Amino acid sequence: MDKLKLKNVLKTGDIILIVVLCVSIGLSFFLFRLLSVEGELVSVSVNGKEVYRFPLSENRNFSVQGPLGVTLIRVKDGKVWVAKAPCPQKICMKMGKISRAGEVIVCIPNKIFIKIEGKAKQVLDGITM
Amino acid sequence: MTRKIVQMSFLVTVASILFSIETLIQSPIPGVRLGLANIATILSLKWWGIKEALIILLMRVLIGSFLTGRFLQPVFLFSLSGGLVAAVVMGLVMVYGNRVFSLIGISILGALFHNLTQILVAYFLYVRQVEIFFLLPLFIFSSLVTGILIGFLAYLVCEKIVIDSSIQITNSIQ
Repeated sequence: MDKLKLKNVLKTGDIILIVVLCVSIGLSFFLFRLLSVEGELVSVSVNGKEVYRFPLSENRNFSVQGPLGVTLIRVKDGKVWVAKAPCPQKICMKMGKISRAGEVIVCIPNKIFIKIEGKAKQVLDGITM
Repeated sequence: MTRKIVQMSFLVTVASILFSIETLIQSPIPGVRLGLANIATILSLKWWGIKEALIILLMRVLIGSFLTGRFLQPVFLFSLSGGLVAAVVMGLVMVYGNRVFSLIGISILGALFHNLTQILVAYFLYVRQVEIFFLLPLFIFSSLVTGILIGFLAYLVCEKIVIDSSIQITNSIQ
C-alpha cells in the first residue's frame, strides 16, 4: 500500500484551480494597493441609506441607530472602528480599524455599513502642459 | 433502505454537531468559518447523490440553527443559501468533472460558491453597497484554505469508510 500523500490525491484540475485562485488573490491585493488612495471621508449607511458623512481627519464619536440597537462608531487619528455594537457575534468590532479608501466594515445583523471614500479617483496624478 | 436511512441520519447528526461546535470556535478572520459541516455534504454527494445531499443539508441547517439558537437569523440564511448553491455546484462537478477534479478541488469550488452566495445574499438583503465586494479577495483566500483542508479530510474519510452499491458499510481500516 503506497503512502498517503497530498501529491497522489490532487488531479490536474485541482492544481489549475489552486494556481488560478492564488494568482487572482495576489493580483487583487496588488491592484487594491495600487489603486487605493488615502482615505478622506467616512460614510455610514443603515439599511442601504447613507446617514453620516464625515471627514476622516476629524476625531469624533457618534452612534448610529440600527434595527438591533445603537452602534457606537469612533473616528480617531485617521482611523475608523466600531467601538460598541448590539449584535450577538460582534463581527463588526472584530473587523478592526480601517483607514484606506475602499476599506469597509459591515455589520449584517444591525444593517450598518461603514466605508471610506478617497479623493476623486484619478488614474493620473496630473498632466503637465 | 432502512440501512440507508440510518446512514443518512448518522451523517445529519455528525454534520449538525460539527456545525454547532464550529460556531463556538473563535475564527482568526471575522466572519470566516472553517465549514466543517461541509464534509457531510461532500460525503453524501460521494456516497449517494445530489438529492440525498440536499436532504442532509436542509436537515443539518435546520437542526444546527435550532441548536445554536440562530433560526431565521442572518447566519441561518447564509448557511442555507450558501449551502444549497455549494451542494448543487459540487454535485454537478462530481458528476461531470470527476476526472478533472479530486475531492479537494470539488471542496474548494464548494467553499468558493458558498462564499460568493453569501456575499450576494448580504448585498441584496442587507447592505446595498457595491463596496461589499471589496471583501471578495479575503473570501477567495479563505475558500482556498478551508477548501483544501475540508477536501482532504473528506478524502481521508472516503478512504476509510466505503459504502458500496449494495449499501453496506465496510470498514477498511487495515
